[in-house]
Amino acid sequence: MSTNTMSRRTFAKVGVGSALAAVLAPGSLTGLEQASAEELNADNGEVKRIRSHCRACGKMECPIWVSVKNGRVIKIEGDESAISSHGNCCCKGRGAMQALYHPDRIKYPMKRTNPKGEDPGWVRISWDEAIQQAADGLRKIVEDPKNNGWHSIKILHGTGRTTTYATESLPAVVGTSNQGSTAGQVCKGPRIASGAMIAYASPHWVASNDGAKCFFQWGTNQEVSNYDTAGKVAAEMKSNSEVSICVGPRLQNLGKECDYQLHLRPGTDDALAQALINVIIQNKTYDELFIKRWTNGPMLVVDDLEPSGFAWTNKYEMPGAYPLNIRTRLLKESDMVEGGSPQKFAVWNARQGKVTFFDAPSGLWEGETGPTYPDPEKDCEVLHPSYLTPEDDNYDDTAALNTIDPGFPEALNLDPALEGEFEVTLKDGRTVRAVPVWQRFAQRVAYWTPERAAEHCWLDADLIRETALAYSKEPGMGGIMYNLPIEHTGNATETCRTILCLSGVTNNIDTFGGNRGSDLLYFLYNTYFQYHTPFVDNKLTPDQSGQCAGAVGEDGTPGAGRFPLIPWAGQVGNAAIFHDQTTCTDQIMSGKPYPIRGMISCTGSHFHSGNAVANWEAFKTLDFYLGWELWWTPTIELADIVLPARHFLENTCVRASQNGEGGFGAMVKIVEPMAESKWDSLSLINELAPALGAPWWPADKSQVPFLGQFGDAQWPTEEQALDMSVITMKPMDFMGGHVMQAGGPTELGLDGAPLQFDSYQDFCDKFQEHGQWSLKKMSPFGYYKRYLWGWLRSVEGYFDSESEDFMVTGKPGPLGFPTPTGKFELWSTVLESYPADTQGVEREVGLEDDYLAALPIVREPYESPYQTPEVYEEYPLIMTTGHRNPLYFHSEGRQQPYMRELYPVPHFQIHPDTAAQLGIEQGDWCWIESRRGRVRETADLFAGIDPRIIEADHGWWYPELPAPKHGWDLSNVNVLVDQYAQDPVLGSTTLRAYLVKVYKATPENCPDGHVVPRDPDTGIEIITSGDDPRLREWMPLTEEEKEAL
Amino acid sequence: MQYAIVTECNKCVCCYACTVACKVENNPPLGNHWTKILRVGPNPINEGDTFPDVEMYYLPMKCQHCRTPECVSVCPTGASQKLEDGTVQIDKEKCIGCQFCVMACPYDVRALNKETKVVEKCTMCEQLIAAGGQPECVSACTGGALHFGDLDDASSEVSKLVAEAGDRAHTLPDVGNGPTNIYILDKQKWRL
Amino acid sequence: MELQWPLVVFTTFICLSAGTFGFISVASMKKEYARIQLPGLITAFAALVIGGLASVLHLQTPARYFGQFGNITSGINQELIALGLVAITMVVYFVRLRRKGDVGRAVKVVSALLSVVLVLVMSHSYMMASMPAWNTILLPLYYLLDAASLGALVMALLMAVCTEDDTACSKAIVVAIAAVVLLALAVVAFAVFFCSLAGAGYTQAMHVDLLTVPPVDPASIGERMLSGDLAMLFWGGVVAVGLVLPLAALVVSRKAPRASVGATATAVVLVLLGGLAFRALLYCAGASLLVY
Repeated sequence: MSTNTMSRRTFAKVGVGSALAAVLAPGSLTGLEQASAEELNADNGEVKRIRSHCRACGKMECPIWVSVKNGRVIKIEGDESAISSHGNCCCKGRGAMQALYHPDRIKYPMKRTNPKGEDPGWVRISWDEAIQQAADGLRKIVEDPKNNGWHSIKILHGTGRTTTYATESLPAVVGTSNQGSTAGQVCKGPRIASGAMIAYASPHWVASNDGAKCFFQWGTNQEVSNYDTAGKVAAEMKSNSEVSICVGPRLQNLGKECDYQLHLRPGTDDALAQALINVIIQNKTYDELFIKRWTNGPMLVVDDLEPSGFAWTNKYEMPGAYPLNIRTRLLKESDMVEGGSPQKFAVWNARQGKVTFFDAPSGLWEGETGPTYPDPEKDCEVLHPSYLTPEDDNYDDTAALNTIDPGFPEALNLDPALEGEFEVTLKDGRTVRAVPVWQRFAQRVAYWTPERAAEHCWLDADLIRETALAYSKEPGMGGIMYNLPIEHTGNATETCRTILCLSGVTNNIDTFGGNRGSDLLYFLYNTYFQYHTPFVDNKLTPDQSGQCAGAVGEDGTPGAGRFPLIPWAGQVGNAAIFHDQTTCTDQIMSGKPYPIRGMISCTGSHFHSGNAVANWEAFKTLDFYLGWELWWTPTIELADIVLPARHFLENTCVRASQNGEGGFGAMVKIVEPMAESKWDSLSLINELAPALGAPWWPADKSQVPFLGQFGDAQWPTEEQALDMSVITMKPMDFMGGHVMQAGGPTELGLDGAPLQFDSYQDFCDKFQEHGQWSLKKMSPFGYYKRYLWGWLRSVEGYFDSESEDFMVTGKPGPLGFPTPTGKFELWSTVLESYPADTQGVEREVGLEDDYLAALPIVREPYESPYQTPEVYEEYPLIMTTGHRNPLYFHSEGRQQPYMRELYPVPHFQIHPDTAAQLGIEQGDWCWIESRRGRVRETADLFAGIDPRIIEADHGWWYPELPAPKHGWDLSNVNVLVDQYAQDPVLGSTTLRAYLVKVYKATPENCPDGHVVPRDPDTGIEIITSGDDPRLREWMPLTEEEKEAL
Repeated sequence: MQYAIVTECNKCVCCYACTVACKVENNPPLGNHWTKILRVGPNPINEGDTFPDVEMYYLPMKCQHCRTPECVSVCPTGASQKLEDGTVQIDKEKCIGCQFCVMACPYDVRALNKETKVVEKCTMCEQLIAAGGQPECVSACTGGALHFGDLDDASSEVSKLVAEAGDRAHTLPDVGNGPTNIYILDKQKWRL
Repeated sequence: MELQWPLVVFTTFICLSAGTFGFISVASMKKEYARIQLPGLITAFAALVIGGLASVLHLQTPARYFGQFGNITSGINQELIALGLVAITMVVYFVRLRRKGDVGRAVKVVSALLSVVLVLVMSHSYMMASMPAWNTILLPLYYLLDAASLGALVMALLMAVCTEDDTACSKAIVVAIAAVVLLALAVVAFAVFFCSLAGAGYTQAMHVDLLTVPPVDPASIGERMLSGDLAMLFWGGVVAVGLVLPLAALVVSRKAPRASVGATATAVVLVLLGGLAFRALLYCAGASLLVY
């Protein structure tokens, strides 16, 4: 190639033109000029490439290729064959070696020797000592008669760069109701739970790798956050879409390219969603058939009816149902006929001029004897993403079966009315007026004309109108990807479900490229690995669950607290497992209604949910805190015993992608663990749990036959835990004879080949060869519109005596949705039955009727120019927080050199005009102050944000500053939060959309006269530039150094 | 032959995958980067516009592997050389660290490596492209913005992209050095 | 851009050297100035060595330089050649002076010309298209006048120290004053040039991670040096120290040059310092075309 006389050897290490050689990266080599082909061959320079999954963030779990040389990870890159991520590998994944080999990782079990709040004085102890002392410390709390048994121990966890979530399952074993993660309460929990209330769990996950006509981001930046849609997939989806919409206050990384950009006032997403629906209703661009057949839009509301109903549950991942008491004004057979069913709901059949009932439990209309499935020949079509051609490698893998709704069976002679007033006679003889839900729903959203919404949301009315028309141009344009900010402005539940309704009325629920949810792996494939944790024998009863902080009443009555739906959300699973952090913190301090004295954590921090200062003070007072961690975070510095966790490259387990893409594979152990670190989940399960005398598996396995192969074991070994995650998978019974295999009929040539493995090792071996499996190809997941096929309500039994199989699932269940009415609920019967306790704070906007709870409600943020104008006078800026920074995953990465040198200090974005008024220039350290406190960040003058709004980074702390605080309160925005400004349904903290003031930091107004934040005791200054020598100390340990540990 | 990187600016989302991938592959010292993402804007779309009528794009900046590189002409030892494949490389054994090339580069993409005492910059991952691969940044790009190929070959993907782009294709300011990285920008005003 | 002290010292001392060498060569064509040739030569040679060493200090691995001059047309190599030629000429001059007492016109002309060439070549190597603030004819002009000032000053100093000729000494002072005045005009011209840089084609973008230390607007150099953060350097260092005070000192010493050796010596040092200050300012102005 080059005839230049200069030696190629000087900067090209590669002598051979092999693909492997091209993968070379320095790693432990020190520079191009030092490598030569001879040197590489001399130290046996073979590079191995191993397939695995990434866990550098808590979300996508992108399949990766890891290059290893002499047992050393030298490169991480995306696996392009992956269905869920298309080869995505973000900067965090690529730089993960710096976490893996970081010199400051926690290496040994440690015990504190100083009081909490000081430098802990950690001393090393053995694993055995640690487990024993932890068990003793926890048991002491549990056995203290002043406490409330295991409820006095709370769980804390983050998303874990380690591996898995045994902390989510431990409560089921020991019986603490204070389960789950504070993170979940402000992250995904509301989305998952609100989805489960009206449709099914996690519908915010869009099947983005299908591509869609409309690319719709709402409060999300997936291109840099990879939030359950890989950045690459999001970018491709946008490129291949016909129209694109982005809703968010700021000009965003990808959103800036969208056709419709709605830069709304933070906290007004609920009103915007209603306005968009309103425009769609006015223009009649909704999908009428979907609304009639699959929503409770046609169900009749009777004002003059005493709400009544039934007990109901729709448990998902975690065994342990938490029934709800559904009480509704929807007209039921039990209201009209003595002895009638409260689960048969009335609609007005326009064709016959009378009431017809829909039976929710069976999913059958009056007159049907069995489910009317679509016709595979006539109604089904195989779809491929629009941007793929048959020549593309993954063309087949991404194919899926779409079904055109054939409509109501003709024989029913049924056409439910969506509008009108109808007279019905109740069983008590009264004749009352009944109105379809849809009419009430339309009335509710009618308040939000584009003009009203424009004023409320600080948007242009025509833009709102055009956006609604673009999105509803035809049904099935694409799903709405709505993420974190929606849950952070004090009306999480309502906002989430309203956006989902927008997707629903335009027929984008479980469509190709639509709001898909996940593939419900756990219940359709007999794998009992609940989010990567082995099956656990649940012991939590509803009375126990109802005692969690937030749900427990002031007098200790289960479920009588402010947030009665929290325990129910917990049995929906995933991130919806949480207790109320705010109440918990108060409970720790007050001991009422019962003391909370201990904590167990697997990662997790005190500054993501609730108010950080209050949480810190509370955690300091705990009698015993045991935690597993990778890093010396401020929160773990409050622990009593700390256990070293493994990094994801040091561990193996099953990885099902948690998104709508349907991927399944293995995370593989690449290198030996650092020092004495262990798989955190497993050591909790088979070391801590036995020490606590808390069996994971029952002694009598007759009710759980698949566990029988593990003999008498009540706690799995690592091998057993891993084996059971895959060997229990077995093929499904495909509708007893219908030839409906995965992917449908012959075009795909698929045989629905099941995922089946002899052992975990077999699984890993097959994974190495095959790569990530597309569940849409391998199982009955390949259907869209699963409500047409009964796959959203598949039967779950605990024990099928015929097959003698535990939890035989995989049989399709009733058609429709797993909700109380069996339909997509525009009228939420769950929220109707559990109206929010707003504690007398009136924030509702636009309610012109009495149906507060069943229909979507708009609430003004707790602190805003309109809600608290007197506060606005002194705090004249609305702050939103936490825009996605690709380098950091929330509070992680501050100690990784390649990340920190690119972004050494926190920034807040402020419009240049506002900055000029305040005398602030680019890069200035400034105070951001709310009524709760103040922190410092640097100013980024950004014209892509409204001059009345600022946006500040979240999650900041400074690893370079001393223990225990590591400077967490210098720049962390959760200092500013009002922990009592909570979502009235699920308690999520208002983390964004509150009022602040900003002023430049000067020596006069800074503690100890220093503008740049520093540790108050030692005067150590934070790292402010990529040239700081302390970054050098954070470079990876060499292999020799690691081995010496 | 002129290997070059063509960037579709609208697709760059500033995710830093390329920046970190480059670091892992090429190991420049802490504080030095061979590629940097610039944020151009937000600027008013038309003069006098205010938020929300603003636009912005990201621009991955790196060595432009110029046709007539300034750095090559000032280098006293000939360490800086333009190769046949069009890339500009530094022979580290010849570099005396005078840093005139650093001064001469109109784009400030070169920097002294204080540990190895030679000047470094983007090599277009010569070690990878010599083996038929792509530069790391191109492989890593999340948004699909980066493309690599031979601009002097009319049938290459990059040549076609540039031809299609017409007047939407731009280069950085050219003072006679002939930067070869082409930046394609849709719908927005090129401001560099 | 980052201040490169070794290079600042290098160019200043080369100016001192070339200026001295040039002036003694030309002046010594008149015999009243012949006396200062030897001390002048030593001064010039010493300055050359100091400057040369300073430039070597700037190099990271100077040892590599030997044996591979690869690119003969590069500015640095041209400097090196010019330096070499001047050094050789100085040696020849010295040898001839010692042997014959008079080096002859030809050598003097060559010496003077080479001195000018050295300064031109050196300044030209900094005229880069990438640096609008340096890419001006004013740069070689400044260097020449700086060299001339320094040379004239050294000449005047040596005359006062080594000769008894008051008239010749005064004339030397006058030449020095003229040179410094011209230097001042060059500085004024540069100041005007700096203030006009707005249209130089600079473009700015925000380096996304450089949000804490934003790029300085390179076109603001004029404002910065007249009234901003560089005002002290300019008004204090370049103008007061480097031009006004030395002129004042020269005006004083002109009356009785041989009695005011201190003042003349001070003027030499001040102009030298002023030259360092101006070059520091040049580095502050040195921003590449694309700033981020």
